[in-house]
Amino acid sequence: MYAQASNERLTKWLMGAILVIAYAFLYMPIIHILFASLSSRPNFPYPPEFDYGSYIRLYTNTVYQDAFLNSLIIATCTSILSTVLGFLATVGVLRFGGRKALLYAAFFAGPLFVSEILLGISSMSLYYLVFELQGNMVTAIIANSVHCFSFCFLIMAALLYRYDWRMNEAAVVCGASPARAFYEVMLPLTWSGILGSLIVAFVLSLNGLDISFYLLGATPTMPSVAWGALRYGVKPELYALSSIINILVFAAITVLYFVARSDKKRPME
Amino acid sequence: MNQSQNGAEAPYIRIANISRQYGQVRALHDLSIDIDKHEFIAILGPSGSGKSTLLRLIAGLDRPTAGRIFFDGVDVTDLPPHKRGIGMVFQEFLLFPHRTVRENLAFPLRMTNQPPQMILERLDWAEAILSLNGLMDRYPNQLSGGQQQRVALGRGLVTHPTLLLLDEPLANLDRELRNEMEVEIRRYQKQLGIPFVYVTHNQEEALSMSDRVAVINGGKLEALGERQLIYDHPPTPFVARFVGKSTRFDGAFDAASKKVDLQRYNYSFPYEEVAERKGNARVEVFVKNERFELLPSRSGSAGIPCTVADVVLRGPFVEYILETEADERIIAVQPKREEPLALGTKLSLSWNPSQCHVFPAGR
Ligand SMILES: Nc1ncnc2c1ncn2[C@@H]1O[C@H](COP(=O)(O)OP(=O)(O)OP(=O)(O)O)[C@@H](O)[C@H]1O
Ligand SMILES: [Mg+2]
Repeated sequence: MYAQASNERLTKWLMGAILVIAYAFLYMPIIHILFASLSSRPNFPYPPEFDYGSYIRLYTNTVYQDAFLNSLIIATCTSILSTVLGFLATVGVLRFGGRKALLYAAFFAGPLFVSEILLGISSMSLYYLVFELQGNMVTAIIANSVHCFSFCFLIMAALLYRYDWRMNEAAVVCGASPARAFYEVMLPLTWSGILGSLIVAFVLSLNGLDISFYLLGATPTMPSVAWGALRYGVKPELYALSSIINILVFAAITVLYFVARSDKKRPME
Repeated sequence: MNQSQNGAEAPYIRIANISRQYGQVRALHDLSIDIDKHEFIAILGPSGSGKSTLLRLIAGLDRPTAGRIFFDGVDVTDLPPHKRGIGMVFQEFLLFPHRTVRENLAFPLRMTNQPPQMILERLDWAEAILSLNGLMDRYPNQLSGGQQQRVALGRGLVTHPTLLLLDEPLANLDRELRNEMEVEIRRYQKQLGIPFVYVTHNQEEALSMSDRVAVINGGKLEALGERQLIYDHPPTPFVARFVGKSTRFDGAFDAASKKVDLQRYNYSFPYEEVAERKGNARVEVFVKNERFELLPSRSGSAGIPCTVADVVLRGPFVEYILETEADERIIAVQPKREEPLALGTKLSLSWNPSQCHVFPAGR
């Protein structure tokens, strides 16, 4: 009996250790960048020797700021556009898809399997060919939305699959117009999926290099500036910027976590 | 059903020649019903007969392929559901899970833009009439089935709608609660004086609550009339089989001797009016189980000889499972006496000819 108890303890320790290793594997690069950005010696920041200089220089560097702003605009617009389109597609497939719903869904998820570089190049030439559109922010947003749409579709389809559409009917016979039925009943019951889709699309398009790169040309975005910086030697400002972005992304994930939890507290039948 | 065009007053609700086709499926076919202002009407039919479809058409959740619907003389066929001013109660309740009972009840009042004072009054009214005291701040998943059902009813009633549609609202409740709610629902209807259209496939429910019963079968209206009339004088074999519990016999009608002959049982009874046919004609005979007469068997007695195979006690009634000589089983329901008949008792089964229903067979 004693042996068994110690066995259990051993298993617990082992599991804990594996967990720590797994997390370390995932987060070491991120932590490393954080250290590097905060250090006076960014190339080998151990032992740490704190210095906020890179953040101050970042604050005055307009190229990075422009890039950050552009990325933010692209990410925001893309997440909204692709979530709206994804939502409409989800509603269409789930409500009116009938027996072919799976087929429609498969084709909506299809663009997931196209590589981003291909999508970027092809969008660039297509938009130019058909619409004579030069690469700019708008085309970048559209091309990014094509890529993010499929993720948004999958995320919302997984959630709306369990939604009882007759809730809308119940609302409508109570005198709610379809629009009111949507935001009084459907939105509160499905918003965690919609928020999840917004966040995922935001993060994807914020960090996506390839698509924006081909469609924007000289306009800087975060990933393209970072990529360019690689060729001329990495500056610590870049570390600072990526750390800021990482922190933003973690904030978004934290929000998602709490949303999911508050949703569980009030299970829907 | 022909409606007189010169009738002085339009009926409160008029459903005129409604059809609904889903691809190849004919869910409803040329169905017309007029409903009065103070009426409780039950729509009775087997599963798949089109009851829910009819209700959804009245609510505006679905559009008819043909026909019109009028509320108070106004054609509402093209009006969307939220402009029809109706209430509806669903079998699965469909309460809003993210809202408390109070918010659920206030929802239709808010959607129709009632003043706050009115909302408070109606909430109090609903709380009292539906005995929801102490439940108002709970969420639907914290309520029992019966309580949820009452909230669903309340949500349908708070606006005092033009009419209330109920789609098998008691199907998910246990029997005891059902009987209780039947009485309650009927009471609300009388109190509010608005028509209730109550869909059910349970004939007992239909008979216990309604003023009139509409029987539909395969999307068509089989019968429409006072519940007593539908029960006592079913106009078609389907209604005879479906409303009430009855036993069916095959027989032949002899027009010369004015008798119905059940050759199989060697039993015949006089019968005046089998419509339509002359000469010897095959007929179906329906007898309500509670209208059998059981007499002690004597040699030479006229009835169908049988023996008591089983006795089922049902409160104030006794169900005798009888076995005929042809090894068939017939159920006869009798008021409970002090001493029910013993198993194996030999009986003679007969009925009052005016109490049974005879239809030409093979329709
Ligand atoms: N949306 C639809 N698409 C295709 N067929 C339908 C649709 N809705 C109903 N039907 C068909 O119409 C017929 C009537 O259906 P309805 O739901 O009205 O039956 P019901 O009398 O309410 O049955 P139940 O007692 O089982 O609820 C059925 O044959 C059904 O299969
Ligand atoms: Mg139904």
